[in-house]
Amino acid sequence: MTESLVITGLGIVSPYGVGPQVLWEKLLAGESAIHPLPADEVAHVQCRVGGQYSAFRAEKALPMRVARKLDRFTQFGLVAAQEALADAGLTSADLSSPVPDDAPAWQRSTQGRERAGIMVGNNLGGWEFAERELRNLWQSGPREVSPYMATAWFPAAVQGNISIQLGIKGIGRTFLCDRASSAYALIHAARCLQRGHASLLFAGGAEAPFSPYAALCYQTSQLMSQQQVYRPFDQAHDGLVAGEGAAFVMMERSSDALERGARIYAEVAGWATTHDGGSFAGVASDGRQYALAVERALEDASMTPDEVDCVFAAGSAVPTEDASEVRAIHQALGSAARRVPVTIPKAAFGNLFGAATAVDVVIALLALQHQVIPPTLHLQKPPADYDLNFVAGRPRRAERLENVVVLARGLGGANAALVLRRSSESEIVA
Amino acid sequence: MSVHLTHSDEVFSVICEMLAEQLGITTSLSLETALHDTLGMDSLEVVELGVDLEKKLALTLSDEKLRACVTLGDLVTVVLAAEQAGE
Repeated sequence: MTESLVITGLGIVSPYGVGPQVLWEKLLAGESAIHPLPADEVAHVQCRVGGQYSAFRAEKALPMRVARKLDRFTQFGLVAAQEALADAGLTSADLSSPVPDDAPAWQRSTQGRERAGIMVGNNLGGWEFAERELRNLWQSGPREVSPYMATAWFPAAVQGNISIQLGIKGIGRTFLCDRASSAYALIHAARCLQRGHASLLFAGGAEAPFSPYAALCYQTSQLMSQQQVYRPFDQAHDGLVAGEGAAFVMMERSSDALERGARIYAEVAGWATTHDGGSFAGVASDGRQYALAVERALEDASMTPDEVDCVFAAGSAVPTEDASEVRAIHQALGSAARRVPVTIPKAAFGNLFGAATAVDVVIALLALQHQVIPPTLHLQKPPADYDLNFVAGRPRRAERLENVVVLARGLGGANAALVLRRSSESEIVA
Repeated sequence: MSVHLTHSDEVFSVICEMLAEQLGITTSLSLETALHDTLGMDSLEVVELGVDLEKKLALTLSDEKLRACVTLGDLVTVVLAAEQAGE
């Protein structure tokens, strides 16, 4: 029997600010973090709003010598990972220091050097940094291009910089899969822990999509909202609104977490991925493969649809994707579909693309901790045939909130589902 | 603006100012201060310093020679040599 995996720490940078508290308070208050973006940066695109953490000052969050070489998405990732480490009750010294002979088993098991790893989801890399340097190149020549251009742009910059700053010496990988990127990162972290490749795994994602070129790419995809409102599953839905930030969790084997007395948020009980295998730009309208990901994840968790207490949907607000997702939820949950609450908290602050699933997982952990389901903003009237129990407008206190399914999908037809189960060791915050 | 330097102390002073601005280094520095072992500079930071020196002093510095520098004194030597070659 494979050992259960648990989440023992979380860290987040959201458009509301740093940390879970401000995020949770704003979500429950129904406060939107989506605002008009600087006019000169979005004059060329139609979606001119986004969830931007405009108060973020990298030089205050990180040492200047580090921050100046990084794109914004890596700065977010570093801050979130540092928060997750501290929240897990650990320091950098715990990740890579030599292990004395009388150290506890959880430290000795991987010889103390490669016990910690990092899995990251990201979609865009560092385009804000890159665009600035490309402008320097074409206006002033190659000598004006920052020597940090390559290391700042590439999507694995988060993985590399977190490993350097926190002293992570074990396994690592970066996943690029559009809005399913961090789902893949979380799932791979779980698999690596099960296979004994690490003892402590940071898993999450980071994204900073507000560069003019990146915004143009998304507009070209025709997935962005033109009405300047992010309203998944509403009858007036018309596409995505972007958000920026990062989220990381600390994942461990249950026995290791219990041995070191870690606080346990929840168990990562099951997961699955599938592909639609159809068009690159559009999802399969029947939602069949997406439903299969959910079904397999539940099976992996030894959970029936009747035991599911909440679904955090991907909620792109792209009409065809919303419709497909609704079909998938109905197919996967069967008769339970009309009962299970469905929520899309990201409607309040934007879709963080490569970090979206990691953010959803953090919010789901907070929901389990507080026994409250955060609402979906801007969802006033879903199409009549959706027939799902949406949590809209106001947060909903749950009679029972133990098992949560988190969904993700990305361009190219990638589908992912994760199942979180509140552990008996998890605390409930009144 | 081109600044014509005739003294290695002036070059050293310019380098120290750039290190303070670029890396936030405010500790006491000498010609013997090691770029990597003491200041923890990596190759990219050395190249960036070199590019900034080029702009400040109106010089051309070889990336290869910059990366071969071990101490701040080595950097001063490279700058002075480039200055002489350009005169």
